[in-house]
Amino acid sequence: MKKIVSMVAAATLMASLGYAKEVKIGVVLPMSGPIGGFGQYANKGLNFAHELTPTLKNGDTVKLILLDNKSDKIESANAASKLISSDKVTAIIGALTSTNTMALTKIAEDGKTPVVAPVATNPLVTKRRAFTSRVCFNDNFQGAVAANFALNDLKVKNAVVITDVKNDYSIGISSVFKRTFKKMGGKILKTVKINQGDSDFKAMLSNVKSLNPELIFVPFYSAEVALIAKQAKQLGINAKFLGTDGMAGDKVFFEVGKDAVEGFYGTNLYSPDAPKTTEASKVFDEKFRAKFNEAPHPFGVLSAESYNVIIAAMNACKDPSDSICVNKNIRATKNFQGVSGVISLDKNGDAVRSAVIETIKNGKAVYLKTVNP
Amino acid sequence: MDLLTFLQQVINGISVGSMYALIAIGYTMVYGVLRLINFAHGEIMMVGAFVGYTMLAVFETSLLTASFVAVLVSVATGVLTDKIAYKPLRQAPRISLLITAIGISFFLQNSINVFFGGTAKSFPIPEFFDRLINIGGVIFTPTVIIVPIITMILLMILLYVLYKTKYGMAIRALAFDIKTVSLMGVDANKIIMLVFIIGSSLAAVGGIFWALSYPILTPYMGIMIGLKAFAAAVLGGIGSVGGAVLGGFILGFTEVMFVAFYPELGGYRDAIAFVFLILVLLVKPTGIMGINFEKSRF
Repeated sequence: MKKIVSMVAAATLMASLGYAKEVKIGVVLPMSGPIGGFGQYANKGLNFAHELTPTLKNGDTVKLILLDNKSDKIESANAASKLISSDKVTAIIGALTSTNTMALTKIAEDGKTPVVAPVATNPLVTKRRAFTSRVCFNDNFQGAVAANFALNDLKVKNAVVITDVKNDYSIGISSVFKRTFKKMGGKILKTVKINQGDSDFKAMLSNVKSLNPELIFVPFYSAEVALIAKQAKQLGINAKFLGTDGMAGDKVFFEVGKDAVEGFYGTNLYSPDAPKTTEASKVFDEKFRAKFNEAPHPFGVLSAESYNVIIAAMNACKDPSDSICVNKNIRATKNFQGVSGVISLDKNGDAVRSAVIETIKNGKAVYLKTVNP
Repeated sequence: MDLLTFLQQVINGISVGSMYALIAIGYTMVYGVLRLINFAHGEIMMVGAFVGYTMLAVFETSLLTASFVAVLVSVATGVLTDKIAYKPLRQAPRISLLITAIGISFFLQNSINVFFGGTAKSFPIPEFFDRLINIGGVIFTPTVIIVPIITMILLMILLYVLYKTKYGMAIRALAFDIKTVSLMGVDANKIIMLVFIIGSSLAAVGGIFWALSYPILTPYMGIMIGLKAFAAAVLGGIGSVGGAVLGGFILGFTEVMFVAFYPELGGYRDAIAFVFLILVLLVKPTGIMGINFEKSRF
């Protein structure tokens, strides 16, 4: 019996060696938990990109190994450890958002495995991390775009900033926003702090209301923004609201916010309605709409972009599973004609790319304009 | 802070407080009879909210029907956890029971996670509860008024049952001495089941109220609410129903006022419940309406 088993095993091994090789890309996404909605959209875009390009130029097949981080940083770190040490992946896409990505970059650094983060925008994500890159801009840019938009387009003079202190992304962008807003002559009336997962904001909002701000800056995720919008409306707050790329990412934002989120403004990474700048983005958009009968989600497009950047880097390597070479090529990405637009990575591994500004109208994010760096 | 804002904050405090109170009652009653901190209680509330969501969003029933079904399912869940998980451990050391409760809590969270999918759900609020009432500049939704009123009504009914009926007497006697009561011919398991029925149905009502006020549901929503309600129960004096309600209101008020006066410290809001918990345990372990556990309860 033992002999047969080992013979079968050997035969399988031989067979697998005979065929084209397989390269593995690990994927860490929040498929469940508070930001599960983000992960679902991201995975949809990613899988679609994989469907369009399932192999490398040399014929090797690409295998995606998806692990759910349950929207949690410890789970993200665990997932990265597993992908690197037991699945032996060549590269990792994930963990989507800033906090969770920052939890796994050290492990990837030690394992010399390149990480490409789709939408982790906190400036610190790539800091002192030679193996972490991203296809999104960092919040030094987004925060400035938001402050600029508030002062020059919305023409507000003062603002209240609400920061989610459990969320590195929110902390980072809040501080950039405040700095830029003040430098440009705006006045920050107050910084208010909340926790991700909170649901009662009435006490905080009643206090904010008494300050009578013209703008309330809400740089955090869908669920909290939606609850704040709803409760702000219940309290009769008339200020303008400005959010960031995490705001309208989950459909729960529209379902809960309903008419309370109408007229909200938000900066974003990508808008399916913005004029397309590359051929690849046109094709991706068309094919996606043809298959799913819906516009691609920004997080999905950016995840697809992460995949394409990694594939391009692998194609440029003699051995596509050589993670050090792949990382070098990811970092060398210049003028990449991506599905989300043209991107170039700077020396820190951050993408230099344009931001879009949207407004919420009839339960949908509507494209307003593009801001170039 | 002007008077108007203050009044608004008082209303905010009452509405948060009454939800903590509803859930705290379940902790206190189970503790009273079993000396068990039923950590799965927050999850019973979560189950109630999810069942309510299913009824409203999928079957499009009225809120009343949805609440009724939510109470039924939550009661079934509560009673089943008692029958399956706690009953076999009646004679076991208390720590085993506590760990089982934590296990049940994980089990319920993950079952709901698998069943409903990992993403947050939006609770469809009926039109009536979504209106705004403006009295002299203080703005609130009907939920804010209805929740404390129903909490009070339920509390009155509960106190009546506890002090004026035979079953109430049995529950109180059971809390006093479970062995003697059994010897007197009272079916202890039946009475414990009754306690779980009361606790779970109040938790389900709390869950529906919570969903009406903060309409985003996640399978893990019960953890923090449950822990806070537990802190409220301890603050009020665990084992005492009136104490649980009092503790719930105090906690709700303190939280709201803390955020109202120091919004820049709002990130520490959750800490308040646990600061209370530690202080009570240090200064007066029996809580405000403290009952000496070796003597009597309720």
